[in-house]
Amino acid sequence: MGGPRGLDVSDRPLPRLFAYRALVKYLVLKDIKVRSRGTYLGVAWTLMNPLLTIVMYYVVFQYIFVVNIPHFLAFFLVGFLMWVFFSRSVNAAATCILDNEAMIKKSAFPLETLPIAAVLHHFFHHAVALAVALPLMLIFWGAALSLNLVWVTLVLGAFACFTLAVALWLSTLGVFFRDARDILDVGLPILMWATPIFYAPEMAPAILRPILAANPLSSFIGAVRAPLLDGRWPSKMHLGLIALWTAGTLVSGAWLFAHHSSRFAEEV
Amino acid sequence: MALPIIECRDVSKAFTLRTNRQYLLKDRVLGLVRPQLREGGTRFWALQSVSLAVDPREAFGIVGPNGAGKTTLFRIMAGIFQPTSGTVRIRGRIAPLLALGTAFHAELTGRENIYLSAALYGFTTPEIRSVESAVIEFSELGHFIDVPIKNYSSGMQLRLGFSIAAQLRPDVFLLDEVLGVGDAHFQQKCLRHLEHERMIGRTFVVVTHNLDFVEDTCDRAALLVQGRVAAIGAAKDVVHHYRTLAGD
Repeated sequence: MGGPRGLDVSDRPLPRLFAYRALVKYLVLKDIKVRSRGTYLGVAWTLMNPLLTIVMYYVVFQYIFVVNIPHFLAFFLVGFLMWVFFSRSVNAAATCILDNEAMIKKSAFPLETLPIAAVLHHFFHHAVALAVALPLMLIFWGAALSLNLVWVTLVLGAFACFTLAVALWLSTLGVFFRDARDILDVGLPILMWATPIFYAPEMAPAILRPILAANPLSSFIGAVRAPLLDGRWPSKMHLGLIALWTAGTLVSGAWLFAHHSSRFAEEV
Repeated sequence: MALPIIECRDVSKAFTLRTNRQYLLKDRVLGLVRPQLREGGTRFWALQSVSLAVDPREAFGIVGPNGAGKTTLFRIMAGIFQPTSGTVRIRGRIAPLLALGTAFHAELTGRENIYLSAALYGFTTPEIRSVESAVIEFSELGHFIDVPIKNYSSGMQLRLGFSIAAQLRPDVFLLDEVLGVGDAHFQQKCLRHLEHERMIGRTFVVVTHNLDFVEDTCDRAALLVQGRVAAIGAAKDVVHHYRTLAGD
């Protein structure tokens, strides 16, 4: 039989989600278009934004704050760009169910598509920012070009999964606790300074080291810095922690979301 | 006799009414030690033991006064809400269509909204592409299709919403007050389209206040009053019963 199939989708969660892949695509495109619509530079801002940010930090760390860490600009940018991706995704996820109330109340679709689209939208911006920053790091700022760069891709992939997992947690909590947004406003800056972005973990006094080690973001950032800046494998401890954090949060986040999403339509 | 295409058995739905719509973390934490703060509100039964069955190829009307639970029942049939107790079985593909269209995004153009809305119904990109021109033609929006929705009149939005749903080809159409779509010309066109869809064997469930429409078009109907089925049967009888009840 010809004609559109639509609607004709499975009841099982994962095949159902896969059947709605076009929805994820158009939700991401919507976010990108809506952001650039009505601006003079349009989608060019996607490129301008990271470029101008990098130039700004170049001036600051090259001429004003001179930091005693080898290849500091590359060292800083890796952590900073990963942080920007994580914090923006998490912020968007916390309100993604409430923001799409009209859609949720009018049609039945797998609601997982909303946090997934929120994270993918910011992953797109992150990929553009990396495409701008990586060549600069490799040519001017002392990053090492080697086969170990495969690790960078793998760890960033795991980081996207971890961010999605946190997004699933926060989008569920955001529906039932409207305070989630306020908690993030205060909590994210604290988390940023508890993450080795502007400093190396070794610079922290011994008493604070366990806190840094317990922060999953330090493992991810450390496992990208090692292959990119020193041309060596990520430490086994970082890789182990990354596997545990990603698997643990993803399983629990998916379970939490699946067990509460049937009530979202009446709670928003 | 074929199995019913929609089967609601003992469906009840309770909502928690909160005096303060915001549900703060403080209340949750205090609720752990002070039970009277827990869930901070009263339970309201929007539907109570609703049982009904809709047969294939049937046009079924749901009528009743405001607040009788019609929209709640609609949303449960559409899979938007889960019933608190009871079961709903749908034997086929179902397309819900509300008066306000699907959730259009104001900044996107009509064409971009076609893609987003159809994807919301589970269509893949090639499927949407294959119906795109038919949707635009049916909507009669012409060059407005590439203008952001925020510049549309409400009638134009309704026309686009109906045109998308018209291309879905589901087994069951769920319609919530969509019959007053656009101007007289477009209304006629919608009714003709629905009539054609009925002829080729689709099932309709219509939630509406338009009693004449139910009487003329529906085979059977149910009257909901305060969340319960007050009458169910031939559309003419149910509408007559409702009119007597309302003192008309």
